[in-house]
Amino acid sequence: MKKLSEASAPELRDGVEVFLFPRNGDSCQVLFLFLSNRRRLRIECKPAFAMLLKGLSKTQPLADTLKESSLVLDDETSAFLSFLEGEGIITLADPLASGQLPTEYVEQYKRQLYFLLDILRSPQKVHEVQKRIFDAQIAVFGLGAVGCGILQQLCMMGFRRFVLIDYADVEENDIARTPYRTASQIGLPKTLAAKALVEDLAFDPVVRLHNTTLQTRTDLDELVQGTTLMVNTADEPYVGYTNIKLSRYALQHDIPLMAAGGFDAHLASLGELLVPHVTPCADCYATYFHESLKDWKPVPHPVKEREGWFGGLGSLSAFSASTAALDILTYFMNPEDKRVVAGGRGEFHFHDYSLDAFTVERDAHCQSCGEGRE
Amino acid sequence: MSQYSEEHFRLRPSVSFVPLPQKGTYQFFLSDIRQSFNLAFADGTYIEILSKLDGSMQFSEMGEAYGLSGQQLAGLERLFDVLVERCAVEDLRTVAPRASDPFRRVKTFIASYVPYHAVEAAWERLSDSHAVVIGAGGVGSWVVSMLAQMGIKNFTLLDDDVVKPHNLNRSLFTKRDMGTLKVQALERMLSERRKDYYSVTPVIEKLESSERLLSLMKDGLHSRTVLINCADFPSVAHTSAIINETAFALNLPYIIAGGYNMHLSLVGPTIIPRETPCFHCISYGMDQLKLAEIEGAERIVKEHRNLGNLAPLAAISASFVANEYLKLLLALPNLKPTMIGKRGEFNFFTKKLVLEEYKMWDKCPYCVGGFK
Repeated sequence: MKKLSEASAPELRDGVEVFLFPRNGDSCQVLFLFLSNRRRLRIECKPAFAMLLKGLSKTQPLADTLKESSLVLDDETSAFLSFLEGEGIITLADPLASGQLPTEYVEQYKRQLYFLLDILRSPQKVHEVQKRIFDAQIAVFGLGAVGCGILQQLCMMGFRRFVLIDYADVEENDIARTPYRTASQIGLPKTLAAKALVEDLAFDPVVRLHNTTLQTRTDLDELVQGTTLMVNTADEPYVGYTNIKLSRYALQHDIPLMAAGGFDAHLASLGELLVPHVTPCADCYATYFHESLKDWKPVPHPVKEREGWFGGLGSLSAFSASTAALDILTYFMNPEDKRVVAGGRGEFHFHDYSLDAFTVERDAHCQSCGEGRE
Repeated sequence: MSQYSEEHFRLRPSVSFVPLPQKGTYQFFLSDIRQSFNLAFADGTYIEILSKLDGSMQFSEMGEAYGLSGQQLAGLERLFDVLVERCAVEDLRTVAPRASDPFRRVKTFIASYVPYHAVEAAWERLSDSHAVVIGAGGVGSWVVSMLAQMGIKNFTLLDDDVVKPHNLNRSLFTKRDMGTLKVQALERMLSERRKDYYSVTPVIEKLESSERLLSLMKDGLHSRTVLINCADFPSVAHTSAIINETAFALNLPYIIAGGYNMHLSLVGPTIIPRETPCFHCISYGMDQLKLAEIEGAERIVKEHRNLGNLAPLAAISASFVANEYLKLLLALPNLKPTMIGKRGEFNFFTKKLVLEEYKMWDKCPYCVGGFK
C-alpha cells in the first residue's frame, strides 16, 4: 500500500456500491456490491469506519474525511484503509495514471480499465494486463462471421497487432453476419476488409496480411512468427483439420490457440482455448468426439453441395465471438495461472438460451500432447 | 392428387438423418438450432426415399420410382406432412432463388422453425418491421448492427450524444466517427453495409417524456414496431417507465436491453402490453427480492461515476435483444420470446444465463389497473 498521509485523497471506487446497515451496538454491517461482476462482500466494522466510508464517497482530502468521522490516521484506521484498497473498494490515487501506456490509449480504453479494476482490484495489475494486450500479436485464421467478430472485439479491447489469414473475398451475403462495409467491399479480399476494420477501431494498429488457405504444406513459421496467441475459425477444408494443424504447431511453440466455435453448421457454439500442455489439445478433442460420437453416424447426406445452406444469425455469431473474446481476455488477465480457462465446449440453444456445456479432459495417451507423443 | 405432387423435396442441407440403436428409428437433427426429433419407420422404403432425397425427383414420381402401393403412397404423404411441419425437408424449387439472396442465412435459419413454404412471408414480417432503438451507446449500437444483419429495414434511432474516444471500447463506432452524432454514425454504418436498403430516422434527442415519445411515434405508425430501451440516463428505471407508458398507449411490444452502465451482464425482459408482465410488474418483483438483501440499509452513491464495461459483454447483451426481436416478430407458437416475464444475469465466467421469473403484479396500474 502506498504511504497514506492526511493530504492524500483516497476515494471510493466508481464500480462499488456501499450499503450501510443501522448501527447494532458497537458495530455496523456493511455490504459492498461490485457492479461489474456482482461480487458481494459483507463486513462488520465500528460505526466510525462506516462514517469514514461515507466521507470516501466525496472528493476531498483524507484529513477532512477523518475529521467528519472523528478518526485519526492511527494504525487501526490505516489498516482499515489498507483492507479497503486491497479489496478494490477504494483507490489511493488515480487508477488510470500509467507510465506504461500512451495517454490516448488509456483514454480510449479507460472504461475497460475500470472493468478490469473490478476483477483484479489493483491498478498496477490492471495496467500490467493492458500492457500485455497492447504488446501482444494475435494471428487470426479465417475472417468470416466469427473470425472477424473476434477480431473486431479484440480491437475494442485494446489489441492492436495482428496477422490476418484468409483466402476468400467479401461476398454480398456477408452482410448478414459480418461488420464489413459490404456496400463497397464486395469482391475485396477479406484480409483487406478486415485490415480496414482494424484501422477503424484499433489504437495505432500494426497489421500483416496473408491471402492464403491453410494446407498441409503451409509453413506456419512464416505466417505466425512472433505471435502471442492464435485464433482459428478457418473451416476450409474443415475446422477439425485446421484446428489440429494449428494445435500441433502451438504445442511445439508453446503458443495458446483459441479454437473458436461458431462454424458453419452451428453458429452459436462456444469454442475452446487450447493452452499447450495445460488444457486438452485439438487432438484430445478429436479423440473425445470420435469416441463420444462413435454411435452417431448420419446417413451420407443426399444433397452433395451443402455449403451456404446452413442458417445463421449475426446475433449468434456475435455471441460466439464474444465468448471467445472473453476467454482470450481471461487468459491475458491470468498469465501465471493457465488453468483459468478450463477445457470444455458449449452449445448455446437459441430457443431457450440454455447452455449445454461439457468438460473435456486431456487425453493421457494423446499422440500430440500426452504420454503417447514422440 | 397429392398436395405435394409438384414439389421437389430434399432433406434440408443442415439436417442430419441418423439411425438410432432401436431398429427402424431415425433421428432428424436440425444442426442450425441444435434440436432434433425421432421417427420410427416400420417400412424401410421410406428410409431409402429419405436417404436419396436430394430434390431431383418430383413427389408425384416417387410412387413409380420406388414401386409404392396405394397404401405406401398415403403413408408417404403423411410422413411428408410431419417432415414439412418439423422443417426437415424443403422444396428445392421454392428455396433455389435463395442461393443468391444476401440474407439467405437468416432465411435458412428461420426455415428451421417455419415450413419452407412460409419462410419468405415470415422473413418479410421480420425485415419489414420497425425497430425504435432508444439510446445508441454501448448496447444500442450493437443492437442496430445485429438487427440490420437480420435484414430489418426500418429504424428510428433516438440519442443526442456524440461519439467520443472512450466509446470505442464497447460501442460500434469507429475512429472516423469521432465528434459525429451517434445516430448519424450508425446511419452511416448501415449505408456502408447496403446502400438504399435501410431506412433510418434519426432523432437527435434524449428520451425525456412519454408525451414526446408518443408524438414522435404516432404519425404513420408502422404496424410491426418494437421499442427497444438501450438508454440508461438518468437511469434504466426512468427510461423504461417512459417507454412502458408509450408502449401501453400505442399497444407496442418493447424490449428492455441489459448491459447498460450499472450492470453489464444483465439481460432485460421482453414485454407485450396487457399480455405479459410489464416493466412495473418486474420492478415490483425485483424490489421484493432486493429488499431482503438491503432492507434498512443506507446506500452510499458517488455523484459522477465512470463504471467499467467491456465490448464482449455489450455484444452479448445486444445479441439477446436481437434474438428476442426475431422471436417477437416471427410470432410462432414454437418460438416464443424467452425473456417474457424474465430477467437474466449472464455469468461471463461460466457463460450461462441465469433467469429470474416474474409474474404480473396484481396491483399493476398498467396491466390490471385498466390503463388506457
